[in-house]
Amino acid sequence: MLKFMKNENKKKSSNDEQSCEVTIEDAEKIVNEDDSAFTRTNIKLHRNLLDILNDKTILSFFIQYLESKNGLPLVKFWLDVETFKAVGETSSSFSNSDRTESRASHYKNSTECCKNDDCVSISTTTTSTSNIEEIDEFVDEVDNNMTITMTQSLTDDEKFKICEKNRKNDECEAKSNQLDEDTKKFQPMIIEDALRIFRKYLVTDSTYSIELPAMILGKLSLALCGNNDSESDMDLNNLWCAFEDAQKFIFDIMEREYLQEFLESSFYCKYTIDVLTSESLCLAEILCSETALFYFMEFLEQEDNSKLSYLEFWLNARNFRKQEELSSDQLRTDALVIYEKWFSLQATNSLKFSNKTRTKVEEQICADSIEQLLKCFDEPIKIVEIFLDRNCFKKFIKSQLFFKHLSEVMGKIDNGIERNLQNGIIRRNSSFAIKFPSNKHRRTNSESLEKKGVTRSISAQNTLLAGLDHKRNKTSTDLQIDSRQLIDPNLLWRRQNANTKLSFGKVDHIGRYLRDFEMPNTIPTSNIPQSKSSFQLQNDSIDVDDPQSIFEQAKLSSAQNRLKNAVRKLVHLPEDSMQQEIAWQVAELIVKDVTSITLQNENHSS
Amino acid sequence: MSESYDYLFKFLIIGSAGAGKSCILHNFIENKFKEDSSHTIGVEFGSRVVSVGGKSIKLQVWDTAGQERFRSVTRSYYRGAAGALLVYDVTSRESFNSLSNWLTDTRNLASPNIIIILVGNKKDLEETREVTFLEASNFAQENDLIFLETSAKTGESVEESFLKCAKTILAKIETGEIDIQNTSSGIQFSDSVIRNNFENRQKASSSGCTGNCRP
Repeated sequence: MLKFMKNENKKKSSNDEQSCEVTIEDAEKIVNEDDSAFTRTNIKLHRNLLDILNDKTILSFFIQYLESKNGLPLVKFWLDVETFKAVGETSSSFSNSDRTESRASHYKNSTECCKNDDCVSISTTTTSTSNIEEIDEFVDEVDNNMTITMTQSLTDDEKFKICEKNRKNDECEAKSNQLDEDTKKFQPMIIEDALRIFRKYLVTDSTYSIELPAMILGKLSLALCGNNDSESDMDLNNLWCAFEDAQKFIFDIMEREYLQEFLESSFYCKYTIDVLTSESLCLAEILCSETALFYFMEFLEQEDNSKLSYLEFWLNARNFRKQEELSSDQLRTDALVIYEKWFSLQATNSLKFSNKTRTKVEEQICADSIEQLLKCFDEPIKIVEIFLDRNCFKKFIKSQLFFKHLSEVMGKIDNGIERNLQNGIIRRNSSFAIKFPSNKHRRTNSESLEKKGVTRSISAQNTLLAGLDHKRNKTSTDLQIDSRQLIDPNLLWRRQNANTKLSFGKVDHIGRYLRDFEMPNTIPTSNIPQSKSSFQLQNDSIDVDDPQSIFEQAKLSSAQNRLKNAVRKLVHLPEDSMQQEIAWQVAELIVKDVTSITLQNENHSS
Repeated sequence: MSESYDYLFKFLIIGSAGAGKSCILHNFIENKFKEDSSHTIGVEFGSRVVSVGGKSIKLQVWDTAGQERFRSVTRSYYRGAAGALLVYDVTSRESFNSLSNWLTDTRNLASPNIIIILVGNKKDLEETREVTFLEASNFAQENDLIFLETSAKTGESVEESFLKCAKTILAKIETGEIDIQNTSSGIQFSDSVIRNNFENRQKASSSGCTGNCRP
């Protein structure tokens, strides 16, 4: 299997090299021939709360995060209200035999699937599947009517309107009669749902209690009470409004207090890695994530400066496309700026589109309708996307820069690992994380990763000093281990406590050099890096589950190694075994002295 | 790889429309004034390698659109920037007045460690000046910014503003105030830098004369 994958990889890469350069004309051809070659994929690296709440995969990460922050009720409330709203709309408008079933599933699933369910359940009853908007309108109207015509059936005029909208004249009369009955029938259930949500979240002693401002809470209780008192008079709209307000309030809280932190959290990093290492990673994902874009841009610049213009055009044209509410004059000015920069024959960084494409763009810029004007760069955007995708994307995700990006995101996750984990576990986890979670990674990622030096760079960072650092933590009274120090040796130099700094002395105000401790001899620093590798090796071969054994052996191996070097370099004694023995002991003393000061500082004040 | 560098910094240029942001970038990269500059659609960028304190630093500069209508677009580019040039036009009171808005935006959206340099552009148009040097430097002091006046036309202090910003960031990296391991720091470094840093520190500390060891 692995071999096969390797071969495939080879093939791919050789293919890449052969078809290395897709010219812009080729890309144009691809777009013209096959529109489906370009499919707008959904961007998965959301940074906006609504998108997060609507995407099941990232939602689960967000929920985990909120759980760790005791904010779970917020998102649960939001989701419940969302489903409540969706179900309410569906069930109040139409009878639906599997209503209860769908409602049950609503409560289980996220909002995304609610919306789908909605569409399905509505379209099954109306048969006009094509125009959901129309249906929504209809639903709204029915909702509005409901409050007025609650006890009597719809007037002919209203019926007529509804019928016209649905283009189902025959069935509609029956339907709207039924509708009225259904609304009555389902009202208690809707209210029941509302009460359940209310009891679950808004009663102060419930486990999921959330706090709402008095005004929203009051409105909500009022709407609910009103419903209880006189069922005939109920105003479901009021109820929905109240819930919507509450939902919005909660949404704002989540956005304000949790979103930013979530995006910085290890949960989001994990998700990012999932996305970045998934099989379906596409160029658009990179282009829409600013951090990845930073690397992609740098990659393009290193690879081929000329491609950078394409990226720049892509960004500009996309930004242009977002300006929907502008006047046509403003739009045209913007379009011309883009045109002159990349399309016109005089352009300094012309993207070399074919005449056909260029003329088409020209025509659309001059068109009267705003829609056409807005769309003027749609085709070039597609072309450029394919151009960049074929030429650079594959190279980019195999590049050093991309792996740097990945390892940085991973580094962030490692930083998030709880500090009191034990040595062996951290070591293991971090090395696992580097090799990617389970089988999710693309192609033979762990291999290529190793090739690219991600693993190498991490283990290189995992120096002897970092290793000794565990020892310090282990031997000191509290077992707190700063896991960051495992992957970032630089932190050692930044310790707050002056004593724990790896410094051996300081220069005082008159410029004298003062040692921090008495040392018979200095150990050349070159020894430390030398012994690094052996420590590493030794360590890898030991059972990682037993931190104690690591320490013992690591201590031994590193001590022996360093002693050997130290003895050779520092103590020039004749080859007498007796004297050699003494030298060993002396050297051991030195080492002990050094380690006791650098590693056991809290207990050892010198 | 065409060019080598020790660090890669992401820089932003922000400020009101017409303050001369694109011209500053153009001058910095091409070393000449851009006569017929049109407004920026969203974002443009350029890069240049500079040398600061013996280190070569590549600056990836993102020049954002100043027009209000692009605000939502440009906001998304703030993330992960290591430094920012906040530009106003010395001949436009309005552009100066909106500085605090830009500042709050940046502080909210970019990484907390971002180094912001206040740049008063169009220094050459002395006769139509509306904002005095003193006023602006007071503002800079209140908000803890480094302040410079530049002219993208003559090129005066343009490079200096970028260099100052880069220098400050570099200093912060060396004192450990900025964590280069952090993804959102907007700083990339080559592998050799980590190694060098590490070895240098080792050497320096063992001889007892590094910045870390001074009282």
